Amino acid sequence: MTNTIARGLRLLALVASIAVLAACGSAEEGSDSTASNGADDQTATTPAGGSGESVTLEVWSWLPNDHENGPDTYAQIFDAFEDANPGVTIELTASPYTTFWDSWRNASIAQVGPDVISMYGGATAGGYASSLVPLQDLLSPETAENLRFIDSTVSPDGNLYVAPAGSYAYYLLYNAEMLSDAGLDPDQAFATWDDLLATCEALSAQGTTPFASGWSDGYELEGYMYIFMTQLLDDEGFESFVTGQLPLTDERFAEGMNHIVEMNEAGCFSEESLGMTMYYDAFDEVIAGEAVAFPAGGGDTAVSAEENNGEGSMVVAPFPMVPGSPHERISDAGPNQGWSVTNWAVDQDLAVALIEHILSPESQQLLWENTDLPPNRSDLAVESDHPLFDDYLGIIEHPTNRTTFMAFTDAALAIFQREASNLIAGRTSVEAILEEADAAQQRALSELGQ
Amino acid sequence: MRWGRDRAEPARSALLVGPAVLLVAAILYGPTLYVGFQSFFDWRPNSPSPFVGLDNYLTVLGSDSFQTVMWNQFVLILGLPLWVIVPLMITFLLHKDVKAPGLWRTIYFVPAVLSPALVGILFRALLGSDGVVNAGLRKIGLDWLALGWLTEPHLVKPVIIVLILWAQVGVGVVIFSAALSAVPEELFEAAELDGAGWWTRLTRIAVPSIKDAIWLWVGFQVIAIFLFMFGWVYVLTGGGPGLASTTIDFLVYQEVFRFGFFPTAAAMSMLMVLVLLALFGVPAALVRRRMRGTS
Repeated sequence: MTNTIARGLRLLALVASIAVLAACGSAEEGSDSTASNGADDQTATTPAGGSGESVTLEVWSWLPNDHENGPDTYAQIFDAFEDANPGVTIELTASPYTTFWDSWRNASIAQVGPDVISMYGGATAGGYASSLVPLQDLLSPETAENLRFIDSTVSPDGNLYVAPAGSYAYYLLYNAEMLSDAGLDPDQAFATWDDLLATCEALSAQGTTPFASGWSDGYELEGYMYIFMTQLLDDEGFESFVTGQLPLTDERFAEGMNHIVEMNEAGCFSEESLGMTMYYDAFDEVIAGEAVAFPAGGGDTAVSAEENNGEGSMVVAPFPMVPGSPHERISDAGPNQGWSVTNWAVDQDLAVALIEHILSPESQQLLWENTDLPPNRSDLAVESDHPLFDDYLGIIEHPTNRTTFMAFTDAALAIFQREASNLIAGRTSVEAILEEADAAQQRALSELGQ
Repeated sequence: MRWGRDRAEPARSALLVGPAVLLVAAILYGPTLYVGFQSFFDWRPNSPSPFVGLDNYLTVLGSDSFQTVMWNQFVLILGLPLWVIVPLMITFLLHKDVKAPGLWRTIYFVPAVLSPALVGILFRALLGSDGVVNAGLRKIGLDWLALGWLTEPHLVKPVIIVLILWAQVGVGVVIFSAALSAVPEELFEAAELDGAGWWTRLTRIAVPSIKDAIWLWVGFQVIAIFLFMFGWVYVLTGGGPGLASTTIDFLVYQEVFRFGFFPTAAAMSMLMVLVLLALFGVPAALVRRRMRGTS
């Protein structure tokens, strides 16, 4: 009886889903690509086993919209793949970032949609494990050997669902001229953690905003948590965290979050920071010279800030180390994002071949030249003609770098974002936030079977 | 001949109504039943989903987040008198002795046709701690009044109540105006000749005459508070600070799209349906029964 009801309800839901999907003009567009028999052919770049049938790979990504040259650059990359693989068509759907995740969640439930997608590794990819193909055995040895930050990208279940592409590092961008105007030594102002706190106190006493604010929580609590946790976790702790074994109630997380409270008490954030919840508020504030410093994650911000504030005004430096770090120097750095193959892809070998093509030195070089995205290959060194960007590249390259960003589940990060303003306003405690975030983290990990 | 026509009538009616009923069943009731069914399972799409009975409901009902959000819903419903009385007053003011009442109704209606996302961004720019309102207040020396309209937990819900009023007042005015236009003008004139003032005419003639429209509007507003707050909350406050402005539809969205917690999202959705039925469906049924009794 239960099975009959279940079947009936599933049928009804299926009818509704089909109606909704049809109305949305969804994934059926690529339905000419039914030649998945080519998956048996190990010459991955020959579609449909070389039978000459046409294959369409649907690609979903937010990346092309990240840079004004993005659409043209990705079009060039995909054109090159199509030229090398006659009969293959790449259909790119470039979504805004937020829309992307909602669309992807729907696709992962319905198990229809793109063949290749942009994705973050670690816990994020792990949350979609039932929709993604483990890539660790599918990437060519040449690609696997040359990709960096693999350890940070592996999901808690031990699979690599994402081939990491592009690279970033969190660094400290600050306005040296504003520091000089305030009577502070730009070289010393952020040299150590104590210097940072003293600088915040001095600047806020003069009515100058020390750290720019923005993002959805007002002052980027989660960004500081990545920076501080990367600094605070030793190798064993890091390994334990990325494999889902280290709870957020571990005292080191409280230590990391308390450093944010410490910054707040030293006056690092302006009183208006809680209301500055638009993503670009922080960029705008530092570029406009309305705040001295900012934990930036891209070289473009430094260049824009200098263009607006005058040559030599801005400095790019590693974020100062917090007390208690077992590392002499380390920055939160990792892949900018990555690429995944869905487990319903019409031709998985071909989809992997497309990812290999995107990750190839040629494509990564093109992305670097056109969109300023530093590559994530150890065999591809790039240089910038802008000194600040070059400093940024130097921070990314440091060999000890890694990121804790991808080990936090979205559920835990949502608690951080939600409670960030309450923490700064003194309406909740570090312990309460971490307890709630850990409950969310553990629940999300249990959904992954961890 | 007459018999044949009568016997064919139900079949013809069913044929005409059938497709619409099927469509509604497939798109509305089907998924609702499916979600209701899944709410008794540890629902993991595309993976084994064991039966868990009422566990999901117990988890949701026992969670601080859900309790806070339900409290938010009931605080927002306290705005109901405001959302009814203000459009009612405006309607009555526009009813007589006002030049170009259609123009005024259009002006009041404009906010209702703006997308919630646009309204959210607009009010975020106005009411943010660095927003226009606070800047203006500081400019004229009222610094003490430059508050965290969207960042203080005790202020954000009243702000949303006023926002709903601003956005919906025009719709209320249009609905009440349509209902009021069906009330014979002689009633108001006779009352006026008998010395009835503005307030008496409003409360003794207008309100009783259009009470069905008022109830309809109340129903719409209650449903909107539970089902259609997402756009405003998402853009304006993101549900914050903390959970202070999170509504149930926003919470369900987060559970599904942000966290992938399908079982509790299903249970929350069904609880939302039950609350709506309790708030709206049960009183409506009681009223219908009473009306049947009196007739």
